[in-house]
Amino acid sequence: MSTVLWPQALKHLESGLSNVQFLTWIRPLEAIESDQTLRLIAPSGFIYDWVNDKLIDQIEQAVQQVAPANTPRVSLEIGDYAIDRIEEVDPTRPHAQQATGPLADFSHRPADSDTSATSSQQATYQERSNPDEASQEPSGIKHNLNTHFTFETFVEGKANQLAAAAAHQVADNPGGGYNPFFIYGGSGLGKTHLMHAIGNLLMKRNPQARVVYLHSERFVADMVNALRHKKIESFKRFYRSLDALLIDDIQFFANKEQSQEEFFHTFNTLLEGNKQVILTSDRFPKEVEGLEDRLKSRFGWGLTVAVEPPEFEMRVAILLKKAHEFGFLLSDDVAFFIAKRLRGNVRDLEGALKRVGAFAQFTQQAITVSLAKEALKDLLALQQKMVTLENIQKTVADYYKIRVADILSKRRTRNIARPRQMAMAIAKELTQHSLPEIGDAFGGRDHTTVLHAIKKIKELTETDHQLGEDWQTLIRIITN
Amino acid sequence: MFIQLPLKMGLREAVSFDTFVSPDPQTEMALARFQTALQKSQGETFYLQGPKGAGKTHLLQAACRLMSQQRQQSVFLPLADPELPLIADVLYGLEKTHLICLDDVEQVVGNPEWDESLIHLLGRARSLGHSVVLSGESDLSQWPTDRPELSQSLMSVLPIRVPILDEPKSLVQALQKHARKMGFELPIDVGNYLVRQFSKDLQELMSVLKILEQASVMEKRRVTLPFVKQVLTQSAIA
Repeated sequence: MSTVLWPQALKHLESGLSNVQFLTWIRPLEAIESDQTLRLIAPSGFIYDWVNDKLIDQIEQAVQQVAPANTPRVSLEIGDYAIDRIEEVDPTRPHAQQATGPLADFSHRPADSDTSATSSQQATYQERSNPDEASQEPSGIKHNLNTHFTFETFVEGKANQLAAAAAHQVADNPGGGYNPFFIYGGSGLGKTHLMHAIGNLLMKRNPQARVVYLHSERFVADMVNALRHKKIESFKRFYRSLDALLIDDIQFFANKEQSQEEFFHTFNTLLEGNKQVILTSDRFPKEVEGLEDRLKSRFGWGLTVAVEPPEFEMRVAILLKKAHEFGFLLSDDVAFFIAKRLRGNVRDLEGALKRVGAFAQFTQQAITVSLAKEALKDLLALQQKMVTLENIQKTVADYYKIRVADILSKRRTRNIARPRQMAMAIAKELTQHSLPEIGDAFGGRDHTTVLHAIKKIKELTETDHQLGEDWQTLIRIITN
Repeated sequence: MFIQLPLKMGLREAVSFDTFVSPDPQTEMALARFQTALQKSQGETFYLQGPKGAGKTHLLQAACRLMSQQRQQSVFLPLADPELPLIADVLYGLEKTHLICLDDVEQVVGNPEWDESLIHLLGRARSLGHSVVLSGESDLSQWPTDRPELSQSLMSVLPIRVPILDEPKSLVQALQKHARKMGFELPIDVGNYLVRQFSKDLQELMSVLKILEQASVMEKRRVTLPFVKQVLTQSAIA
């Protein structure tokens, strides 16, 4: 039911409070009006506590002013009123009959187990105050999917084509052979995008599907709060009743034994019921430290795919495609400039492109390389800050299992000299330092030595496959 | 000597993009794009960068108001407000609102706990498609953080520079332009008087303009220098 009383109460509150008080504490509240109760949902414990301590009386007065004859009770709660939601989720009921409401949220409740600012808390079904949102969630749960992340908006290339193809397969055949589906790789490479794309396609094909996306951190927080409020059975019932569970960044489960235990059972239940599980992580599952072996093992039961940072050609292609989507023309030389300077990930490229487009629009200039340089000035400075000569030396030393002191030393044995040359060449490739500056930083060497190292490494990356791989890997580690 | 206004609260008018006077056409265009992006809710992160007094807080609050007009939740957190008992955990859960505005974010950046919390908030908001607007005085590249993950997150932030309008002549011109929008003419001597005697903060001057407009309508008088002096003296006494 949509509220009519709350917008009127807001007008009273707004006139009596400062802008800051109103926007910080009152605006974030979501109102749900039911029989003689106005439920106000705070998104976090912090806001809940503040409103409960300092503003609840004013809210009640405002409500009374608006409805003096029939003043409803004001109930203040945290989250998406999800504890109530979860209790209503009965997996044996047909989906269409399930309560309409957002996903479970036990997050950040106050220490006090009384979750309401008033005495009682009845679990009653209410629609969300925004009818549009409710209509997007016919399955009765909030799926948390970002509708912008679809297969159509995903740019495929060599670095992610296997992951994209597999994701299509999972969407076509959920709960089938690729279960669980595990995507790993660095941040900003499209893992979350692919995960949402699968979820969105599942929802498109079956709007009743009970699909939920959430971050692992949220799963842990929900579980902790469920335990604290003795709602763990509801929590279990909710997650084990899904058709597809999409959990992002499972590396955050590391060292959280109880969450891992619960997730293990949820995972097993879903897999046994042929329900799809999709997971992402920043590294290969077996390399996630602090994760139980049995979980690591199960993660490998389905299909594990990697997404790699885009190579130069793909970065250029992404820029050209995105520029087209954003509605402006990008010449090849500008695309080459951005792709050369920003190697990290797709998100950075998109951000850079938006900046360049906005800058051109605001200054009413054509997009040229010099405009791009100006528009990206602080971003490139940020990148410079992240890639230092010391960082390069340390990363290369670690990679070749030698010490930084060896790289800086006068020793000229092959196992030291080659990594040193590699580090010098990377320094030239990734930083704006001059040859003499690089020489100085590498034990006071002459700039001609640096120049020689750069030429040597360039030559070897073209002829020596292993060294070429080393170059790519090191660049990826340092820039990501 | 500046005239002291009796109660800043009393002068408060509804903050909105309409009541913000852009110092130049570039900023105006940038803000128009900013509004469009907020309306589309594409989960972008913006950084309003400018000196104190440029109107960043006004813009953040206007953004919150815009969201409420669309029936979407928003939260505004003034991180420099000494009354807020701020700990890094406060950011947890805020991503559930459609727009998260963090004012004076430099107050907390560089503190490891806050950096961690900010990284996660930006990530969670992005994955939910919710927008974040940060504000601060310094350039993004000058942020005192040594967390590579935060620097990484900042790479996709869209900065909008909000310069301050402090040249008396430009201030008067801006006031005249805004008065015209409000439906009355502001003579140049009145404009000069306000800027000289009252304030060089454009947003504060806008509040005064609003008072003058209301007084002019109520008393059915033109906005002349004697009238303005009378109104402001009464306000100061009130």
